[in-house]
Amino acid sequence: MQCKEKLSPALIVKNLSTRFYTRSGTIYAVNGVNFELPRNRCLALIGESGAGKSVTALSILRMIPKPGRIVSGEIRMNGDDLLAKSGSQMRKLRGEELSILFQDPLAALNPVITIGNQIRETIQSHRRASKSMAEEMALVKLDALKLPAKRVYNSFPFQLSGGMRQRAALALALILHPQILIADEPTSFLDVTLQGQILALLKNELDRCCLSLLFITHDLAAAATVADRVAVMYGGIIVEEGSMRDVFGHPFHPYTRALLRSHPAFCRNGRLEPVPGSAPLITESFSGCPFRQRCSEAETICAEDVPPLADRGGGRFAACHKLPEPAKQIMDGSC
Amino acid sequence: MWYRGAFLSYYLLKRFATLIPVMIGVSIITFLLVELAPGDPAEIILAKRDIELTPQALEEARRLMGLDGPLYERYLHWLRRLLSGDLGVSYSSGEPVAREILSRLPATLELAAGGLLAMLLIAFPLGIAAALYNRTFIDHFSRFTALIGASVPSFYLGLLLISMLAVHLDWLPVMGRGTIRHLLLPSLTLGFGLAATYARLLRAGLLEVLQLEYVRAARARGVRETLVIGRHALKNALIPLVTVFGLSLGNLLGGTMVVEQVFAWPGVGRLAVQAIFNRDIPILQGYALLMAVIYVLVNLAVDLSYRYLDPRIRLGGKEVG
Repeated sequence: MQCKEKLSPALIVKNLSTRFYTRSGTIYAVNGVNFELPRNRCLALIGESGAGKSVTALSILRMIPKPGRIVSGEIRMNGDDLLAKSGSQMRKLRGEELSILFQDPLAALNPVITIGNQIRETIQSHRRASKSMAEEMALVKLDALKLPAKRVYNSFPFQLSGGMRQRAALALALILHPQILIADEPTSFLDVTLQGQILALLKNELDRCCLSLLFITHDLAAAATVADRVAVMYGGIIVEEGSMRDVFGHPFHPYTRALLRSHPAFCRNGRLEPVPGSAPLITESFSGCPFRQRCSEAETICAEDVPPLADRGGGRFAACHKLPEPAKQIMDGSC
Repeated sequence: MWYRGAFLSYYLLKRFATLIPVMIGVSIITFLLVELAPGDPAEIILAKRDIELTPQALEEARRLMGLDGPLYERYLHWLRRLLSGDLGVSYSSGEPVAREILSRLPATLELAAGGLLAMLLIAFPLGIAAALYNRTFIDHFSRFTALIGASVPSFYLGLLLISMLAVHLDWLPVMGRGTIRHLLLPSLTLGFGLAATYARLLRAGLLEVLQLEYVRAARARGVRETLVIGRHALKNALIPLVTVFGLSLGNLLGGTMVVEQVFAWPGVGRLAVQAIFNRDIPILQGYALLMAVIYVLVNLAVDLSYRYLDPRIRLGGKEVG
């Protein structure tokens, strides 16, 4: 618990933009994203599919597949810019300091290699460890995640149930005690009871070790369970950020409000209101607010300028022209 | 663990049982070779031995060769002899067919092994390089090489290699069997043609597997690239290759026949080609039987190797959790 006192953010993402240069045109997936991941806390990145959440995650890992490219920005971890690191420096960082948990454990685990061997190769890719030392480490971690360690160690992924698989994948992601874990929709492929299990384990890891969690989800209820802070993404930008309590209790941005109204756990009077329209695939450099076509409050100014993510006081930020004048801009750096 | 072993031996037993009807079918077709071949074998053998063709002599020869009586009776007679290891006698040399074939088999096996090794040594580097450097010069070069390998017939490639490396440069012997140096050119000729298919399959397979989530996940854990390629990707990309290997074994066996002819390699293939010219039906029957047996056994081995490569097949895909 004492590690919770350190205040410098675990990860600072500044003005990150990632584009995919496909044959049929450029896709503007992430368009100037700013956020800080507080140390030993959980930031939930929420939004619909196509909002740019996963691309943001892969950008942080520097694992954007071709024809994608990070075009601008800074990703600072312990003061170092990850975008300035060499390929082999990044390889050493991945798994060791910065880890990711993918949504479908059946796809993310190699079907023809035992869980034990996948954990062992991860350890041995980073550290000098004998086979027995690596096995010992693996068994301890599997046991900590409440798995029958010995059996899971010797199993192939297809021999495990869905929940066990995701816990095994979590063990794999956490085996080297990374500072940062990115969980990319880790519960989407699980049924509800198992979702709770994984969320509880994630929360437990947050409390127990010095772990900072970037929790990517479209599931608002899941976000509410683990997150300390919430960043809402839409059209490749962050439209609102604040503490979980504030954002879910008093959303500022029209998109956040619409998103909450469409969820059974947060809607008013039990009446679900789906967000009209569908999320845009941004194929051209845009001006104006990306949400304006689906926004009931849109005005002419919304089509002209991209609203800046402005400080609304009390550690809250929102990007909307319709809100009262912001006190100051986020780039001033106090949050 | 004991049950896994028991399961495997049960599986093997089952697989061997299914081979019985296959082998019966093979024996019938082989037997019918004699019936379908033009010319009366009794006449041929009498002519070969310079015996005058009288009706009595023909009758006597047919009786001795088991060529009288109805078809099924002759088949059963032939099959009985086959099962006791008697494949008949070569028309041209008068030697037992089994001895003729067995004495040449080591040469063919040596050539096939050399060809396979050459195939692996060409196909793997080409396929892996092409996949890793997808759409670069290396990829184009590798694919072009594979295309040449696939489209140049092996008899021509063999002659080309002989003319270049043996005649002009005088590095290697022109033909014959003996030292490792003798084996190089025939193996290369045999392996190059086969390698083309595998290099392309391996490239396609690797490209597909490298896109998969678990490869991305392994990289996201910082697993060394040599392990990502050599273990995660290759092991999964090998599965379709093994299938094709079983199916294209005929190419390898047919290939040895051509290559043996080009390089005067004293193997079974060359024996079979000579037997065709001599109308030496018993030798051809023996050759066909041998090839069928090899084909069936290798495909059994291929099926077994899946079980090694893919634990989902080995362990029957049951969930334990």
